[in-house]
Order: sequence, then C-alpha cells, then structure tokens
Amino acid sequence: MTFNSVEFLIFFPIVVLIYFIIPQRVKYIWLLVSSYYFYMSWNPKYAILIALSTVVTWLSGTLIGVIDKRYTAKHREGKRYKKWCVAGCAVMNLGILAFFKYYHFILSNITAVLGRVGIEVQIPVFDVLLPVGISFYTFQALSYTIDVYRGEMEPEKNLLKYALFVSFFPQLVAGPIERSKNLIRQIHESHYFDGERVTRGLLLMMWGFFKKLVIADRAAILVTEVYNNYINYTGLQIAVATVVFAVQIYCDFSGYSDIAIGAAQVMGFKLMDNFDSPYFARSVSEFWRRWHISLTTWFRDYVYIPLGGNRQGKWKKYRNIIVTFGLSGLWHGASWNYIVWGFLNGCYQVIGDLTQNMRHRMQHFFKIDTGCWSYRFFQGILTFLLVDFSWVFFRATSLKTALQMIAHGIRNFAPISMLDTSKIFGINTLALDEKDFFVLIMAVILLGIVDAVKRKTNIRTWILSQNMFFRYLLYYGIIFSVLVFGIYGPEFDASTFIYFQF
Amino acid sequence: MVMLQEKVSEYMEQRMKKKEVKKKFKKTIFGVIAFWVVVESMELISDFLYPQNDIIRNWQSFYALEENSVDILIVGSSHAYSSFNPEILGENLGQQAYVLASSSQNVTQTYFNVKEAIKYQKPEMLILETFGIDNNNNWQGENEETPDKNWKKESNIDGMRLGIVKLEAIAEQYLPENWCYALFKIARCHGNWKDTQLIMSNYDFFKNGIDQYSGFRPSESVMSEETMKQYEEMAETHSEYKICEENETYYHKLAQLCRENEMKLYMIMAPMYDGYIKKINYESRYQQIAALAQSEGVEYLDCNKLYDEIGLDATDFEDAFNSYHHLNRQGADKVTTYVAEVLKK
Repeated sequence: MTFNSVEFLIFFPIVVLIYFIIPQRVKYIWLLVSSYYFYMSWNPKYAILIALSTVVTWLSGTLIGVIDKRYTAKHREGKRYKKWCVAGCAVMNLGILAFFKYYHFILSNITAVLGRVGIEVQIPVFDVLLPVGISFYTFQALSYTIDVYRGEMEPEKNLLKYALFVSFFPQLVAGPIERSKNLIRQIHESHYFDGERVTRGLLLMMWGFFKKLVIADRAAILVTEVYNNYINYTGLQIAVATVVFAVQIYCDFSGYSDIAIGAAQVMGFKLMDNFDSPYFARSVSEFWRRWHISLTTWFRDYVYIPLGGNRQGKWKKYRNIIVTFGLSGLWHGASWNYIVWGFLNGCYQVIGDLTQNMRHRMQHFFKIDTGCWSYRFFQGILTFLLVDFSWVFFRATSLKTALQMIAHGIRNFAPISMLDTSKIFGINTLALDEKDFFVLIMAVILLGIVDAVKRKTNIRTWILSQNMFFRYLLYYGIIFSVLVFGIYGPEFDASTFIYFQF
Repeated sequence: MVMLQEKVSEYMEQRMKKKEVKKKFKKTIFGVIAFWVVVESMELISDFLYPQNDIIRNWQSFYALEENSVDILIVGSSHAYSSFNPEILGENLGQQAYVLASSSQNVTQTYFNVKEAIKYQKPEMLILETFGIDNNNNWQGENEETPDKNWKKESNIDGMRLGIVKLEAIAEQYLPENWCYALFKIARCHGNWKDTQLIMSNYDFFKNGIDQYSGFRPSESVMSEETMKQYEEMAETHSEYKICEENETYYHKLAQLCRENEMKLYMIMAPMYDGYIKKINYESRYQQIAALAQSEGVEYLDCNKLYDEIGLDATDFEDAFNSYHHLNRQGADKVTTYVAEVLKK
C-alpha cells in the first residue's frame, strides 16, 4: 500500500477517524495495529522481520537499563556488558539487513573475485526478496539501542509503545528515520483533534502528492526512456535527462516525506524535517545538510562522530567523511554504482575542504565579491552540477552502465540536439509530449518558488493567515492540479516511490 | 455574594461551552460542504474530460425527463438503441418510450440500470432486447472478450447518479481494488486534459443542453455489396450457444424486479443480418433464450424468425461486417412499427 494508491486513500481516513474517536489510553494500540496492517499489505511475512527487529532492540535496551541500575557508571564490567548488548543487537539487526539486502551483492562479488584467480565456487543461492523499508526501520531501531547505551534515552518499558516507534506507518517504509528521543516521547503524550493542526498536515500531504504525481512521475517518463535507451540519445540529451532526474528524485522522495510528515501531523505527531530546499545549497556539504536530513544526521551521530569526526586531524577527518559517505552509498543499494555515488559525494567534500585556502587566496587576489548575488548563484549552479553528475551513478542500473553512458555522452555530445524547430518552443521535449513538458516546466517553476519562499517564511502559517476565500481557492487548486495533471489511474502502473527499494 | 459569583462563573462557563459546541458544529457543516464541493467539482471536470458522451448524454436526458412520464422503457445493448425508435412507438401506441441502452450492455448492467430508472419513472412495460443475454461475462476483469469491455462497463455506470444503486452496481461488477476507479471517472479520464478538441466538444454539449433525446441512436449507412460478399464468404460455425451464469442470474433478478414494480417484462431479439444468421447455430440461441423467457413466464419475440412479416432485406442493415449486425434507420423503423403492432394486440 503506497501513499499514492487508492488503498491508502481509504486506509488513512479510516485510521484517523477511529484514532480521534477512541480513548487516549488505547490510541497507541490502534496505531500499532494500523501500522502492522499497512506494512503487511506488501507481504504479511515481512511482519516477522520487523517484529524480530523490534523485540531484539527493545530487549537490548531493557537489558542495558538493568545493567545501568546494577552497576555504577564507572564500573568497567557494567560498561563491558553494555557494549556486548549493543554489539549483539547491532550484529543481529545488521545481519538481517545484510542477508536480505546484500547477500546477492556479496555473493556475486566473491564469486567474481575467486573466478578471476581461477577458483570456481558454488555458493548456495537463496531467492530472497528485499523487505520494503528494512533499511529505514533497522536504522531507526538501532538508534534506540545506541541512545539507551549512551544514556541519552531511558529504556522504554512498554513493548507495544516501542513497537509503534519502530513501525509508525507514516514513516515506516521510507523515513524520515526518527530518533527515539523525539518519537517515543510523543507516543506517550495525549493527542487530541486540532482543526488547525489537521489542516496543516493535510496541506503538506497535498503538496507531497503534487510533487510526486505531477512532477516526479511526469519527469520519470522522460528519465526512464532516456536512461533505458541512452544509446539513442546524445550527450546533451542525457545531461538534460539527468537534470530532470535530479528534479524527479527530489520530488519523489521529498514528496513522500511531506506526505509522511503531514499524515503524522494530522494525528498529532511532529516528525523531523527531511529536506530543506537542497538544490539551493551553495556547497556539497551544505547540500548534504539539506538532503535526506534524517539519514545524514543518523550517519553523523552514529558513524562519523564515533569514528572521530573532525577532532582527530585533517586526514582522519577526510577518511571519516569518505567512509561515512561510502557507507551511505551502500545503505542506498547493494550495487557498486551506489557505493561510487557515495564516494563521489564524499570526495567532493574532501576536495572542497582541501582547496578552501587556495580558493580564498584566489578570491582575494582577483578581488571577487563573494557576498554578491551572482557569486552565490554561481556557487549554487556549480553545486547543482556536481550533485547532478553524481546522480548519473545513482540512476544508472549498474556502475558499468553509468560509465558507458558517460563515455557515450562525451563522444556524442551534439550541443544543438535539444533544439527541434517542429516543436512550439523549439525545444526537443525528448520522451514527453509538448503539453506534458510544459506542465513539468511550470510545476518545477512553482516548486522553485515554494522552496525559495520556504527558506524565508513558513508557507503554511502564511496560507492559514489568509482569508477563507483565498485559502479554499488554493486548496482546491492543489487538489485539482493533482487530480487532472497527476500521473495516475488505471492506464498507469502506480509508480512506487524510489526510496521504497532502499 | 460568593454564591452569586459562583453562579455567574458557572453561567459563563456554560455559555462558553455552548459557543464551543456551536463553533464545532459550524466547522463540521463547513467541512461537509467543502468535501461536497470537491466531489461535485470533480464530477464537473470529469464531464469535460470524458472521452465520449453518448452514455452520459443518455442518462442525463433520462434524468431530465418529467417524473413518471415514461410508459415503455427499452433496455439492452447497442441492438436496443439502434433498433427501436421511440417516436414510432409513441405514434402507434400513444405511449412515451425511452431507450436506456448502452454498447455491449449485459444483463447485470441492465438490472442495475432498471433499478436506478424506476426511482424516477414508473413504466408499465420493460422491453429487454436479448442480444446481451449471452456468454459475454463483462464481469470482474479476467475474461478479456472485448478489449474495450471495461470502457463499456464504466461508461454505462459513469452516467448514473451517485447513490445506493450506483454503489451496488460498482460493488457487484468490479474487483474491490477497482472500486475507486469505477466510482470516480476523473481517475480514468484526467489524461484527456491535453485533448482541447474533446474539451471543446464536451463544452458545446453542455452549453447546448439536452434536447429531445430519446436514446435512439440509428446507424445511417446501408449494407454494401462488398460487405454482403464478406458475409457470404464467412466460415460456418455450429457451436452450441452459451449463456453465462451471471447473465442468467441477473435475468431472473430483473424478472423479479419487474414483478415487484408491476412492470410487464417483454423480451425482443432485434434482427441481425440473415447472411450472418445462416452461418451460425442460431437455433441453439433461440431455444435457450426462449427457455429462459418461459421459465419466468415472459413473452418473447424473436425478430430473426419474422423477416418476411417485418419486410426486412439487406438494405435495412448497416454497412459493417462483424460489427454485431445492427439495423440501420430504415430497418429500425420497420422493426419498431412491427413491434408496435404486436404490442397493440
């Protein structure tokens, strides 16, 4: 049951309605049942895995709590036991994740390496299907155990409330990866119906649907065609398709996050922001502070900082960045193209840091005004181009395909191949017809305006402060743009969200 | 003094509570209206983006009729709307007839259409054109007998007003995962926003309104020599005719519905081109439909057995091979005149 399915449009109002009718003390049980139903709609067997992950992390947290009570903070043995608890929990959870997500990847690489040195190995092959959202809930559950270990979180006594933290349906399959400190506290709180809050939540959901159905799925038509048949397209056309992919993945994923955050808000929960106008970033490191914030901060808190962060000298800092981004790439998918994508983003940041002094000297020498609009615009464009280049590795089906596509693009760049005099605007619209292309451009302009305004003011607060006529005009405008211009319905396969596969 | 203060504060509290309840009530009413506006606007937009308005037009004209003004309701597939001219029935019988038929309409669809129709009209007679009593299981998705069968099913339901009958019809004919698509036509036709010609033609239709539409949609072509030859060269088939279980079940339900509403059910098979009849095992079809009619004590008139009486020849059929062998306007007039004579008796 994806957010853009008919089932969800029926499921969500029913869940919300009953949620506000039933007494406070049973609300979390209702949400837990709904969340498991939501998750089991993909495959009932998946529930076993999420339940296992829940029980293991809850038990380890409880055990750490017991150890804390028995031993004083400085007691060595206590510390050792706690470390064993965290390690055991991590091995178990990451083991499940590794088996389901990386088994084939590891297997095929071992077989390939051994084959190169002339050793033929028959390794058993299992037909394992990647459970939806496993990377998300595994990381969320692990963060709880680590937080309890670090003493930042009290162990949760109620297993069912904890199970809801792991399986809360709005953010279960594609985040935001919530922190236990934030979500468990809210599960304990009472939630009442609040018209304004519900309106805010619904508004965000509508915007999320707009981004997904009007922009992302329309952009996907163009990107899929060009990437699947890149040999028929020129370098410039591939570059344009990659720019469109940057729009697609942003709208797809941030659209999902908006629906998730909005759905949670309707029920009284505040989830963390996952995107903060990332394409307005002026450096790659800034981009990563604005893109998939919940994952980036997870890696920062549980990988980068434990590795030493930036406290152990320049080179170790660079090593930590590269390792963190490499792991982030691996988290996204069991394929070399994701790992290269992660490394590439890590390398951008290392190079940026290494050349910082040189750039400052050049700015000083050429008397460049770094505060002016044109310079900031140049920085934004450069950052976008760097990030966009890395998306080639993310979108291509394999590392080999990505490299072949880049080589093909360079050899056949054809700088005027985007011009087509037979079209109204003289632009080659690639796999989209002119009208769809026009809608896409218009929607992207709107998205750009919204993202720019969002940085200065809270748009939803502004909308709610307007008079009723304007507000309803806007609500209906969004609803009907999605209904009319959205890519959905029986003639289209409901395209799932890209991040569901991770 | 303290007592008075307490009373005042109690009164004020009660007033606040009342105000709060009033506010909530107002908001709920407003919410319901807002939701209704969304649904209605969705319908309006879909009407402009709808690919073909014949069925919607048929339903809209039906709903526009004066209540209880229809005496004879004719239902069925394309054979019904291309064979019976309500004007001739009116002239001959002095009764108003209306054709509520749609392409490839099976008996299940007919049943729900009639159920909806009798909410607005109390016809004395229901004429069921029997071409739709076949093995065409226009049902829940798997037997793809006609590539456009879903469209035919949907286009019929789309014209119906939102209500219990429509919901019942959808629940009965669609798989649960397709209920929303069946209910909200915008999910199926929203892609037509690019077709400005279609939008303009729909706009013209709505601007001009419904004008004396009786549901009769005759073909204006005449069978050509080439088409006749095609029929002559057509291979013979002798397979037994089959009526699917669903059509049979809903036929009995329809007969029951007619009894409950004191409507006389009359079954008529409209004529098909005899070049086609000769090539198939028509006797098997006749026998089975006649048996079905007999099982409910319903009169059955098979026009394919009455070619000479009606005075039909090849020029009374439309010029189309393998398109279900419809009559043309001339043929429809002959058949309707004959039927009117029979009904008079």
